[in-house]
Amino acid sequence: MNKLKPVVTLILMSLLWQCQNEKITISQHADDTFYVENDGAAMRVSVQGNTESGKIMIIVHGGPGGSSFLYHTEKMQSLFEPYYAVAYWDQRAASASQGTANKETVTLPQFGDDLKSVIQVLQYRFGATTKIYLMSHSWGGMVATQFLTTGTNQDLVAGWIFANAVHDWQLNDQNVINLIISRGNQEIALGRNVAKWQKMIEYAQSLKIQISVKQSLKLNDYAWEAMELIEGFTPLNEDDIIDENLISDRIPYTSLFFNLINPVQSHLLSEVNEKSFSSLLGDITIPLLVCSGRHDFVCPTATGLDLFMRIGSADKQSMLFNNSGHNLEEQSEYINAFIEFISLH
Amino acid sequence: MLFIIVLSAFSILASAHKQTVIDSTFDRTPPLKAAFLGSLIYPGAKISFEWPTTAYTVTKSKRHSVKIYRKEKSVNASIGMYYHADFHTNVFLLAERQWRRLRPCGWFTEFAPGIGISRTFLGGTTYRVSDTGVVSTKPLAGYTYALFSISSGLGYDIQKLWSKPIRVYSRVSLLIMAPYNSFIYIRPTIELGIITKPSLLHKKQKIPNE
Repeated sequence: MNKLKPVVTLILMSLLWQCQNEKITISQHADDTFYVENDGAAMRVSVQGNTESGKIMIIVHGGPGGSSFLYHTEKMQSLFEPYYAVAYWDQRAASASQGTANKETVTLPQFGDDLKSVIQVLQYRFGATTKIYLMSHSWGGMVATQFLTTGTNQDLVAGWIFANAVHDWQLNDQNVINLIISRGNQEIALGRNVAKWQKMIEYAQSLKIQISVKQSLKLNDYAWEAMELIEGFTPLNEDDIIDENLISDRIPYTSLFFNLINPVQSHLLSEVNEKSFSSLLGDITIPLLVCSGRHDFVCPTATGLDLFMRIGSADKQSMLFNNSGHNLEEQSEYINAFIEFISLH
Repeated sequence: MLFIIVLSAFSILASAHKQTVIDSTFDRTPPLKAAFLGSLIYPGAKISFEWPTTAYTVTKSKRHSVKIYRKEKSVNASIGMYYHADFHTNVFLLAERQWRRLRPCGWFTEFAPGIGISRTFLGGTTYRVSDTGVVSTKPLAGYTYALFSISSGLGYDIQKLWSKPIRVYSRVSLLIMAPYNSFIYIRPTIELGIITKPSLLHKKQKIPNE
């Protein structure tokens, strides 16, 4: 037994070091990772960049079941982080988040409550005067809208970036249908990928007003396929970002994978398929920047435009990125727009 | 053609002969296994005790050759951990049933399914926010999971070269934890280690051949 003592001591010391390793960095090159525990989920938050600026942009990632690691690109590190800090937040039951999240706690209101906890912890760590901005992408638009339309939550946020995102599931599906039909007909007229576009158009035309989860998922598959067919445009491959950063970002790859295919995600889709925030948008009055990609078939520009028209904010701006699809392909242009928006607010 | 192949196979099987001799005098001293355990670039360690339950020698004679190998069965108990920075430190206890097959040349293979318990410690300070908005830290935050494992390994008995009871081995395992966000989490690991009987290491008497 005596021979085991050094090993046991080593394990205990390593654990204690881990537990006491509270790192709060106020600098131009912060690199802090911590967890926010809320209702059974321990959500990873990694703060990178310039925390001295007093401004933090929270990534409200896509999905459901996506990952904030996908946004920690080389461009984000070299262009954005020297100016402001980014909080890469992994939502519950997604990416590196751990715990006991289940179908009772994987709900849209719970995601909104989680975001509130993350903001409160960021202001506890980096100072109560730290300004918080939301950058919601894709599914993250639903989470951010849920948060901002609840109580006085919008008072916690200095600005909202709505980038290729969604706030009304059924409306977005209708916009996908319209885009597939209109763009598809243009492509057919030019004689490009005729058979593939015809198949997608036929499916889009067959859908009724109320779209089921199954139909929505198939429509989403076609939307991704449609982006691949646009001549002169190459969609950003998310797998490449993971491959590039697997070691440097210490990405727990299997956690990302199993959270992505976790059955609780499909349960969540049933809930959000019926969800629309359109009637509540007039209550949101914080500064807004809507960014849309011209080739985005997943969250078409019409969805961002609808949010832009309905929101109550007096200070709002909309930008169209001509050579982007869904994944913020024109990274430098998007990031420069984010920097400008944050610097003005 | 197929008929000829089937006929040949039957003929070979008919001429093969298998004899199993149970070794009732085998050394039941529990060997100690100590290993570096890693998962990609994430380091860890594992210590195991093996309790041998059965050992027997199998002789398979075919028309032109005789194949002899030894089989060992044991029950293993292990404690292990790995450290994945920013994600979690995982400490686990594992009970395994192990099958090992040793060739006369010293090489051996092993297979072991297992069951146990895992406790993770989150890879960073963990905060909670109360209903009134008060932020506090949670010490030793983490989760307990049921653990299942499946391992397969390859090793060499150094005793064939050097009269010390030491074997070296490598092993690939899948650690399956549940319920992880009401689902599962699978972690591949690699072990590089030694198997020895510490009580016999310093004894000068001749160690019986296996």
